Amino acid sequence: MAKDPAVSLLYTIIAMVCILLSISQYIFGHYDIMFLTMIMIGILLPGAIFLFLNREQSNGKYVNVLILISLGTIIQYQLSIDPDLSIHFAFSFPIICYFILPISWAIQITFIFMVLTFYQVSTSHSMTDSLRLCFTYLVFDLSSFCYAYINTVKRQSLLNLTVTDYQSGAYNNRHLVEKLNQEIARSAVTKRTLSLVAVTIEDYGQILDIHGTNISERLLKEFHYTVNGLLRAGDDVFHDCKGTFYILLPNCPIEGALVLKERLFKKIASIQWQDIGDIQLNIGFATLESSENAQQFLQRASEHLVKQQKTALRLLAFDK
Amino acid sequence: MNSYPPVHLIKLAYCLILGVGLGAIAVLDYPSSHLVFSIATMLYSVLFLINAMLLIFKYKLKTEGYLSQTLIVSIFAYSLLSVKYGGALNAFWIYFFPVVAFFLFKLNTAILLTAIYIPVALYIIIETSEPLHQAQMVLSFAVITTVSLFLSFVKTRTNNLLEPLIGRDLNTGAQLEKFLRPTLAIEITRAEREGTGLLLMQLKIPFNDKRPHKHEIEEIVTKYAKSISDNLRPFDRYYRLDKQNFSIILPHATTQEGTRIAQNIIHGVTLDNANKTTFGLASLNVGDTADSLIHTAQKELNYVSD
Repeated sequence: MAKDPAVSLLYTIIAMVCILLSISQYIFGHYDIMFLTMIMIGILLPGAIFLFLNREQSNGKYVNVLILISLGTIIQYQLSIDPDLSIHFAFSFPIICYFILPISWAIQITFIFMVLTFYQVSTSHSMTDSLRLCFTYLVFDLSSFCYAYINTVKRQSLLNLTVTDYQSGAYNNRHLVEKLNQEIARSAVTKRTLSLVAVTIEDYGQILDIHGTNISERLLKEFHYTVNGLLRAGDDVFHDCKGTFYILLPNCPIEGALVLKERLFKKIASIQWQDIGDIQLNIGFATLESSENAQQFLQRASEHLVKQQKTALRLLAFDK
Repeated sequence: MNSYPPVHLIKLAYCLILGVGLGAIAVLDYPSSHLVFSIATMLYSVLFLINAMLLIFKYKLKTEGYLSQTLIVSIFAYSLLSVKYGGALNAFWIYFFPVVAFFLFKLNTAILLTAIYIPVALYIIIETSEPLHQAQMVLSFAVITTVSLFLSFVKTRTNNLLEPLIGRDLNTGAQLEKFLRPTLAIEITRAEREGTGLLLMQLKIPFNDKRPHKHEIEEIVTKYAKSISDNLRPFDRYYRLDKQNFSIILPHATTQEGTRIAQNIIHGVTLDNANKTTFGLASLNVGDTADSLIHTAQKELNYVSD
């Protein structure tokens, strides 16, 4: 659910608007303002291209901050040249920030921008007019903030209620912890065993890099479907969004988990995965010990998986 | 104030600041512009202050859907009024319309409203500004409308993606009805495989009013949900049915245990008519399916005595 393509499109649209604006400023002879508008275009268009091509999402927000701070600085400079004209552009700045940046960053930037705008307005207008403008600006800034904040809160509460991982269709990590707690409590009442199998697709990161998101997501969905076909009613599959699946097996001893591991290896080896070819799995497992909690149980299964991965690498080196 | 959720506080702060801000603008406008415009601004300010008071006392209007419509119509009228009386300094109100429209209404409605407003905005711009400013205002209006549209579009898309992935009801924390039959079928298979008991409990909430209001239903249902959640074991699951009832899956439970849980649920609900709550219990028998268990539990609905 990346927002970068939408932000890239937005920057392009604003750049187009700025091109039209600079033509009108040229016609009316406002060359100094036109020059500043052209600098804005020079910032927005490369930003849009970068965000469109960028695959590392964590870089995106730093680029956005740089772009917005540059835009804010240019608008402030325009305000000092022609406040009556540039105040209109200043009105659009808060809502752009709230759309593009994480809300806490947007609050800080728009607050500084608002204080500077109030200062510029108060030095260029009469007392009454500047007060009226400042109130109107404050109300508009607050409206944009409320819109963005309530959107963020609603999205967060929806995210907290989700139980399914949209990439693979399996249950998500949050639901894994909840379900583990339930099954551990149930196991304590029934005195029956509980096993957890951790399965990771080898080099999933590399598959994602080489084949892209669509093919990788299809692989995860097909893999989930294949695993589900091997399970009993009551067993559940979870995905941590990073290529590792967890299979929860109530009333199943360690021998049962071992049998499932062998069946899984055999099944996966028999499938030719479209576009990707063969895939290799690493599997770790654990059976619930007395007085163990969900976190410890999960950690033990994950540690066993890491150990299996290391052993597989050593064996590979030995083969060579 | 501590009991207010953050969204409620934000709405309250917004209404208060808007009310005070508009009041101040009305006072500033009084000597410099027409009396009618000043009074309109003051009325607008009072509207927000009244809404703030209602929010403080947590009063919810039964016609709250109309508040959005009132707000959008008033912004429409106010910005038009500014052409006649307010002048260039009040033309900034055109920027509010797209933000408010996309915030308060669904995407399609907001697009329609904004499309209707665009000619009005252009008329206001032409009437109140000089030619160089007109270009700047048109383009600022275009940018604000585009960003509002993007925000609304991203919100709609996120909701559409997330809604099918949701497992619980937002207000009560109960699982959604669509998960009841599949989970019950799995639990039946598990109980038969492990040779253990399984109990399905239906809970019907009594309402004093024959046609209770949505808010009233939510308030009562939330109280029941809390009591249910407090009285269940970690591996029991409860589902919200038809918005007003609950279904509870109790693995490894007998009818006696189910009755005790039902009594505890009634004791946990702080409502006058809680003892009129009816419960239906269905214990797993040979040949039962998810549908037959639900049917039996619904047929057995009855009061539970202490």
